[in-house]
Amino acid sequence: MGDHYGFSLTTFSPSGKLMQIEYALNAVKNGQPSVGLKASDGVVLATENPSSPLYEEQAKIEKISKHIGCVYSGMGPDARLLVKRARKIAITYEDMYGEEISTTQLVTRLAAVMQEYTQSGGVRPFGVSLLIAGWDAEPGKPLLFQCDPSGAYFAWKATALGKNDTNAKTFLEKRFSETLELDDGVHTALLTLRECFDVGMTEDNVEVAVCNASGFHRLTKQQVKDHLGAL
Amino acid sequence: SFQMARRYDSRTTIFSPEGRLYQVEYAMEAISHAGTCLGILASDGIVIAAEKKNVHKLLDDSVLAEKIYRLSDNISCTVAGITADANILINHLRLSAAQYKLAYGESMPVEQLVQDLCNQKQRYTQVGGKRPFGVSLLYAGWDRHYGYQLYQSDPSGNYTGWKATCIGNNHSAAVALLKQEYKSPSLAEAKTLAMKVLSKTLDVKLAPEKVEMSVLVHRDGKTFLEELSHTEVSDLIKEQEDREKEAEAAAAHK
Repeated sequence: MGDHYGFSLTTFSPSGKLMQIEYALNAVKNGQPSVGLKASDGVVLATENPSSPLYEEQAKIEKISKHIGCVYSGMGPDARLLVKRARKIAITYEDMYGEEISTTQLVTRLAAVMQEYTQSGGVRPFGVSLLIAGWDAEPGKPLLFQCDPSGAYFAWKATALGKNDTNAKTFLEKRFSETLELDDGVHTALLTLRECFDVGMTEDNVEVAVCNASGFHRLTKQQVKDHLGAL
Repeated sequence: SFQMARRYDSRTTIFSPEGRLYQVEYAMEAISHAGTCLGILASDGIVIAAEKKNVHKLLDDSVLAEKIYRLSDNISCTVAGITADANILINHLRLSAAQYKLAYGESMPVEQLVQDLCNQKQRYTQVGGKRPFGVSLLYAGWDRHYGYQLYQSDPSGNYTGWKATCIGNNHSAAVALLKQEYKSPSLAEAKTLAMKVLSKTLDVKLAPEKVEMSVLVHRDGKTFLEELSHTEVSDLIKEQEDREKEAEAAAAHK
């Protein structure tokens, strides 16, 4: 890593800021919008994923382990690397301890990787923020985390990343309630995402996934279409 | 001169011509904007209080602590600075303390743990070209050698023992106030003093959601880190506000 560069590329400015991290956060801010929402019985992730008649369909929301998945805002290729690393972390844990990794453990380990890239020699921070959704079997609860380019992580009830995230979060503050169930959660998440859309939202340019006791899985095009119809 | 600084300030482990380590200084600048944390040694325990900066209606704060962490059965800490860097150091500290316990069959003495981490932090200022950690820590613990102890460390790897101290936003005002008011307090008096100091350092209005407060006590052969309940924090805040009103009224009558 860092091709034998011995020194940090991310260093403190006179005002005490780590500018490379601030710039990475800009890459996130300018990225396609994504939303995460924790319902009482599961977690929803949703994101804009534009399509074209010339593209082959490519998913943005990825599964990390049976009960954990994630979505990002920012640089897609950077996200790909982190997803690969997250999967490795999850499977190594399972191999060693004989049980699925808990969401918190995965998040803290992945965040430590992101922190490494703000301090190690010759590397730049990741240009993504991740929303990680998970279901912990014991004691049977849903979890939603955000991982930032700095390596900091936050546990959210509901949040948004990418373009228009401030508007989305204000919208969520009004609409979110702790008693929402998964279906209503999907509904609220889609309404929030629509606030960030410049164009019309259809089942061809939005991607949705849910995580609950039965695992993490993406909704099919038809399921998304049905939810959109109900908006 | 400032222009000269630019040539040397990103080379993390070399001296500038005036003999300064700019990256270390800049890191400390970062910490002076972080949420305040303070520690006060009392006769029968240690009070640790911190300002929570990440307060948002949608944040799920039942999941993770923000400021105060348990490191081992007899030592805890609070951090100010870059959260991600702090997480790395907290992991190191927990690992060190656990390895000591495994090797020697007894709890790691507080100063040894602090020194161990500070030696690591110092390495980053001298070897390897990596930037230093942007974190200052306050360590509160009890051991059979020195009883209750409070230490502070910063990005340079320097550490000192304190009776009462403060790091983060407005820490100089806080330390000045502590210097005036610290008079070998009991735990109850220390809690009151902590709240008095916090009300001065916080840029916003004091509220229970904005404060994380714990006490470290050693009794019956064990050390406990007890977080103050929402009610207790509210009561302390109310007492502080009453005191301030009284002081304003007294001043107005003069």
